[in-house]
Amino acid sequence: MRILALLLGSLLASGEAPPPGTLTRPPELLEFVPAEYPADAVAARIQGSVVLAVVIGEDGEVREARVADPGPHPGFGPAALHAVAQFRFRPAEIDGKPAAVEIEYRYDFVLKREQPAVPAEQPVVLEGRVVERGTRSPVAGATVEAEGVSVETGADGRFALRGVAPGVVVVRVASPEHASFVVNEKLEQGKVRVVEYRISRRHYDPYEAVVRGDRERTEVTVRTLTTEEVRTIPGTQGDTLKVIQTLPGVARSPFGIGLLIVRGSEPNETVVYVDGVPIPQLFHFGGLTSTVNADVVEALDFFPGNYASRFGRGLGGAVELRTREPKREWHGAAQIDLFDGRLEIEGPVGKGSAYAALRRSWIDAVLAVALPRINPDAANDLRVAPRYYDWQTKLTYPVLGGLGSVFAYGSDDKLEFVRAADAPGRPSFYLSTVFWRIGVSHRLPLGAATNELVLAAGRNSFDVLSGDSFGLLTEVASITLRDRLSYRLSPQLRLEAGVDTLANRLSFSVYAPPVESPGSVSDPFSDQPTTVGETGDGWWLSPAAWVEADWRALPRLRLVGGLRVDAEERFGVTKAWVDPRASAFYDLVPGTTLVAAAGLFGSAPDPEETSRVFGNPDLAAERGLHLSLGVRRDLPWSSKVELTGYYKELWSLVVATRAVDPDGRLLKLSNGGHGETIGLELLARREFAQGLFGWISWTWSRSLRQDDPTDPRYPQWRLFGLDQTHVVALVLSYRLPREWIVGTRVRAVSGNPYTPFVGAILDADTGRWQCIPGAPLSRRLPGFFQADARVDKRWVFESWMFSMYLDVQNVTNRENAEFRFRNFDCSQTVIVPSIPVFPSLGFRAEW
Amino acid sequence: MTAVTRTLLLAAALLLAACNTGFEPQYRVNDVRILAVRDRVQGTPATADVAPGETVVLEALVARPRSGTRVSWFGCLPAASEATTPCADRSFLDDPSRLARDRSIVPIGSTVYPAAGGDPDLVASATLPLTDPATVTTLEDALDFRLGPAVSQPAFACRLYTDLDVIAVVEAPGVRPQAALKRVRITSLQAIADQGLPEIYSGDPYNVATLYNLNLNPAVQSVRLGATDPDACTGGTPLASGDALPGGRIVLCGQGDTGQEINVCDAKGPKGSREDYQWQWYVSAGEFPDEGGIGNATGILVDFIRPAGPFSMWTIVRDQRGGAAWARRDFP
Repeated sequence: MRILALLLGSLLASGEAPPPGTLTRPPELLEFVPAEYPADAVAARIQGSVVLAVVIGEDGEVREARVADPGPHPGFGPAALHAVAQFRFRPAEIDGKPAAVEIEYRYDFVLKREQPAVPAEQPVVLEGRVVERGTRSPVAGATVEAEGVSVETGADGRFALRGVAPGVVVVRVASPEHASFVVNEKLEQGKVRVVEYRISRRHYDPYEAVVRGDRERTEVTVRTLTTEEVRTIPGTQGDTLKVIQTLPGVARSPFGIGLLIVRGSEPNETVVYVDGVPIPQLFHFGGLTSTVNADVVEALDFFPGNYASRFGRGLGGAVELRTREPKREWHGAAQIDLFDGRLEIEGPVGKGSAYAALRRSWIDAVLAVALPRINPDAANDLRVAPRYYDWQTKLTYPVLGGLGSVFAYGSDDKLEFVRAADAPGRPSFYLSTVFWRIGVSHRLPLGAATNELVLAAGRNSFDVLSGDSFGLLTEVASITLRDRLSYRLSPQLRLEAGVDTLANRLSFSVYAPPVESPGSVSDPFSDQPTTVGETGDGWWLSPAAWVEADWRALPRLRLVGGLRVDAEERFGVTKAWVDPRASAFYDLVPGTTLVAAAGLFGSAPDPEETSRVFGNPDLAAERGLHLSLGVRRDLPWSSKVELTGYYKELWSLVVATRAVDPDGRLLKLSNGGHGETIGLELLARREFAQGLFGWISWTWSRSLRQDDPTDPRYPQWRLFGLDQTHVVALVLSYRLPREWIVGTRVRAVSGNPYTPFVGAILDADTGRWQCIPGAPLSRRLPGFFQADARVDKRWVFESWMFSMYLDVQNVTNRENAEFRFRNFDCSQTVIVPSIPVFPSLGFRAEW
Repeated sequence: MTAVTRTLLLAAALLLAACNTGFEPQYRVNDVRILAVRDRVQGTPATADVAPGETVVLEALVARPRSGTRVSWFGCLPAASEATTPCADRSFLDDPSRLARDRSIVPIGSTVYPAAGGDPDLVASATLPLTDPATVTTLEDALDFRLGPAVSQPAFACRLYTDLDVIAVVEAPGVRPQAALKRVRITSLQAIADQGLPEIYSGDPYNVATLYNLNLNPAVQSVRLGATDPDACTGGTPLASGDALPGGRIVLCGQGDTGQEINVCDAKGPKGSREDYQWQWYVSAGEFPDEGGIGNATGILVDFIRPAGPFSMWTIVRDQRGGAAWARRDFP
């Protein structure tokens, strides 16, 4: 009898956020204690596995273990628990420091005959390496056996078999995660036969590297996704980041265009960081895919609110995307689907390693071919030319006592609507968004402290041209400096301090019709001969600093307090604000934690809002108070449930105003807006186990706004424009034999609010009719329902793998309402539907 | 809503504009409809820009009026401020009866037209004297307020006028009330000169010979079938009421006058140009086949498919500076 244990991969949070930094060393099993094989199971020849959730302390001792999956025999669970409780580990390290983690541990009960010991002095007759088919990864811990002599492979997959008599022998390779492998070898006297065995993994499912860890976190609500975990979720085209939109607290984006509408906040109020560096957009236009290739993403943390002091400049949520470290072996991947093609390659570089990835869309080429066949008349008049590409590269290298990285990434989107009547080079509509970043980072363990430094430079540009009446050209050159020092003063107290500074040089040129008072009869889409313009450039400095203390006040109570100070200096005008934040975690009973948090948040106005001609340079920061209260409970069968209630109050919001200054000039914008959001989020999630993975989430929310006091309806409150009362999402993915995976995503969402029209007025100077609005946002579109489905199939060859997927959005072809389109005098409207049934076929090769 | 979000929605709107929605198109006039409003200075019929102290004549083209159609006029004097007047505030116009009740709104006049009779069109008119001293002072102050920014900011050197907002309300039995907003441009060459603007913008790099040309209403000289020079709408056959039109798809164009030389706005200052006429077409029956979306038939050149029976066609031209003209033709 022999018991095999498998420690799955590296640490990864399951709805848990890393505190500072990342896992620098996974836990390592030092002392293994075999479990007692239940006698009746031996007699009945029952084999199988038990999945355990094991909490390993900072000292490497097992603090807690529980059975997540008891396996096929009732005696397996208790036996495994008893054995695991005696294990000893080298503790995991986070940022170079020992840290408590929770891992998923599988105990395999395998019946096996006893092997005679082999004297070491016998000559080696067979040596080589065992690697995995498809991935060429070394297989550690595999048993290589011939003629009753066996040996285990090392961490590099190598083995040396001694004492086997010459002749033709049957060699068997056994590994708990791999299919049996048998081969005949001819061994000759006095010679060493060198071989490489490529064995097949039982399942090349995307969850194989996922280990769930429970690092202490400072946010009361954080949802972590890994690329491998969610790659096969339907409707996402394998894009990890799109999965955020199915998490609790996130409203549905119209047409799926990639807006992050978090807890009733404006989409631009959710901040996005890539390895600590803010980026201006998470998705390419239309939300087709994210601007960072999922192939280089290790994980992302999504904070719907009450996030830690290290984040700022937003009133909504935060997304922190972490790119992975490049592999030390040569690997690559290529993928094509309906929308784009992508290529990624990586390998060793000296003592370090590097990767490079590139993706380019071909939607423009597809539309050029498809549109004339679908709608020849429209194709003759209107040419739509959208395209995007993005790229990422990263080199990591051990340097200066720590781990250094040099990274660069960027994204480039362009969208044109060219009508037949357009002059050359002057399309009816042109949109270009470009950004890139290049920088260095360094993580340095300093005894009980860790320092993380990121320095990056980059550029954003955003250009829009619409006919002759509107043009906006902006360019922002930026420098990001971010440093974070964390220090564990004692087992109960951790301190952290950091700076988060942006220096931007903004240059812009804009021409547009003059800004009218809100509610004016004007047509923003008309070609007006009267446009006004503004050009400018200047430095724009946004320094910030924070401190945070994480204190385990009682064995069951942990308190986190932080303070963040932000400042904005824009064109000589400096404004500053202070945000205190706090959260508390109380372990009610084992497996159940109560959480609560409160904090202030601030956000500077957008640059265009402080324009002298089109905005108001005197605008102050928008402010918000976040409150949340929740409970988390671990459940059997690798499941857990979270319930979170939240309330947000927003004030000093930037809104349009009818007010004029003492000189009679329209102020255009003011800080006179208020907001209020209340909601409840429920998430029941099953981690991957026995082939099944998924979650169901439900969000109830109500988000209100109050406009400027000069609004005729003031002090009435109205709904937030993207308020959705109920958002329900079900995500399920199931692994079948022979490398098939099937999945579904089902969403049911309340319709967005809209403003009814009560009449219309003819603008006699343009000949166009303008609608007269009724009570703002007082009605709702019909509810949204969409079911998506996906099938993945993978073929594994000797040194590479090939996979294919079919991802079908809106499989029921339901006509969901997104907007209302009006007739000329607003007396009739029709529903503009969301996407119809939309299949996408993709192919991927990995080597 | 951010600029990016607005931009995406604008892109979606552009796409939708090309969609076939199934609506009755804007160009088809089945019932009473206000189609255009223009103004002119009393005594100088061609001039559309009005100076303080002059009297303005307002005219509204109402097609297919019903018996008992009432046209009422209201005005809102501009102030030395950028605040919107109630006449141009959509949130104020959700209840047209408020126009008559609000003290800041000037009632100009109201007329009931007893019967449509044989004339299918109604051209309602009203006069608004801007002559009393208080009104003149108010207008001059408002104009000075508008001219002020142009002294220091080249981007505003084309906005050398202020607007007097006028609302025409059309009420007909059994039909939802209709309203139209006409912005009467109030300006004065003397006031522009008093600000020193012609000197400021006369030299390099502006090279502006005349900073502001008082606007004249354009003219519809003819509507032509089969023009040999479609861009200028010359050649071919000019159409008059009673002419027989061929069936099938035909090409019509509108011939106007040459338009005035003007200065348009630019971030760097006024830029010489010529008025760009905007043409709009309406019919009581028939089809403009190229017009999708809301069915607004526009452009100097349009394809048209005539109906089987008699029909009327209205052609409206606007000069983008507030000037307008129209013509109607009836075809058997």
